[in-house]
Amino acid sequence: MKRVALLLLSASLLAFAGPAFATGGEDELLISFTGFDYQSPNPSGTYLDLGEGYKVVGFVTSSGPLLASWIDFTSYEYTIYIRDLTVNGRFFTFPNLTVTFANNGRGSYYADNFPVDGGTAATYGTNPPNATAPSTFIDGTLDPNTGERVTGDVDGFVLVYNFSTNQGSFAGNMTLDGGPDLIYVPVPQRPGWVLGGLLGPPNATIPLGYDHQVDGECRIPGKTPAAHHTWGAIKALYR
Amino acid sequence: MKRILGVAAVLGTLVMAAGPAGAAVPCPPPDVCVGPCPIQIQFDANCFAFETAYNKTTFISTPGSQMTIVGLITQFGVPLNILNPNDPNKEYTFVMSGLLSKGTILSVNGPTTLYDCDYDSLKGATFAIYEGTPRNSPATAAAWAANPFGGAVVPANHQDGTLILTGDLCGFHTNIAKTGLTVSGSFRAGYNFTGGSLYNLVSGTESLVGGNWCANLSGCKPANYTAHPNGKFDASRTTSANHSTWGKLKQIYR
Repeated sequence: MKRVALLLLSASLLAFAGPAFATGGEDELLISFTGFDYQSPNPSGTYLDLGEGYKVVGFVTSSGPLLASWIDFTSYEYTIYIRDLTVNGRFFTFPNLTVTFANNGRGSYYADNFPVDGGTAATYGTNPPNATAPSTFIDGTLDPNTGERVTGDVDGFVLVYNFSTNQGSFAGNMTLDGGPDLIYVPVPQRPGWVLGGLLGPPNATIPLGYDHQVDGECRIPGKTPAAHHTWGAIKALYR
Repeated sequence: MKRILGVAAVLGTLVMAAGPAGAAVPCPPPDVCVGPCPIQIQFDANCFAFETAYNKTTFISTPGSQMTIVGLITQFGVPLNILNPNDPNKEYTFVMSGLLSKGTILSVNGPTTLYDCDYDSLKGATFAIYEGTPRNSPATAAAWAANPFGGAVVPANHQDGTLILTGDLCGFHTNIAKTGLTVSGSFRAGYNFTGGSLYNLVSGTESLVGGNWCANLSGCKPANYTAHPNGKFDASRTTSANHSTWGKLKQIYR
């Protein structure tokens, strides 16, 4: 009876346990990216006012070990798009701004081997959203190796900015949950983070209508150590 | 008379340009970038900072703490795109040094605690970029964890090979923000190139270097490293340059 109870308890715990958020080990890089951010929708003249949206478009600049074998910068253009982030909290004491966002934002990276896959070269343009952004960062879907490769849910996203030093940053929890290349990321490593540094004006590289230059990373927990065992040893746990 | 005026003007310009390295002058504004402004130099996962007096738990840098940043370059833009950072037989690395901390300043805004730190705004900070053979600097998380700063490999293997570019850093500033359990950060500085074997390819004008500053996650600061920068040197207005001779230069003033 005791064994059965223990077995049932163990089984129920396994059924309810979500993916481990942190393994206690070191985290690792999934992808690095660089790009620009903008507000959309942006009905207010106040930067990231309550209810406004926040988006980032940009290019993948390198990948970590899990995706390195599946990313080919010589044949494909890799882009990122972070979206669906809506401001739900705003705190401003000059020069510092903190903005919090509602859960369920999204972040994805894409592959494009234009023009073969019907896509086009990603182009920022001006005053986004525009005719090329975000559309050219997420197009190219005719080839099965292109289009959205990995996507994830972004929660707890926070953005801070200092209007005196003209720099800021963002961070959020990002749980990878879709895309054909998700199979290359083991389940325990899918709950990760998205981080970015923001460089604002004076910064001549920022296209008109975008707010900041963004450099960032998606990071994931490191591998969970595993040990080989026999069925006998596993059965012994429940005896 | 025209020659004398010309020579005097050149000498005057040289004297002005060769001011003391530590002169207390504000950082010049970034150069105006004309036309497309691509990434000039990109660095990603394999870049780490080390400080001599820094608390990784509280994010506090003690005044006088000396910071050094080492990294492996992952991309070059125009006009440096003649270099291949993925060459299996070469690597391009950089070292930022002379970054003297003025001490971390704490402030609070709503739910966020901010940790701001200036590092040497007087142009005492410099950077150097090397082309080395073979690839011998750490390029995996395990290699970084096994090679703390000050050991046999780091920063030694980041500064071997040919010195291809040197430059000044101005107004280096880090900003770390903690909101609940969420920590983010950034860094920003002005830079200009001053020398190196490829100096003729790049302008000496001011632009920005900056990006993400990861100070919290365990894997983004392995061994004794204090932070993980991920960012780029932006391209500024490029000035074309040609090789010449002293004879041709003299000819201009005759």
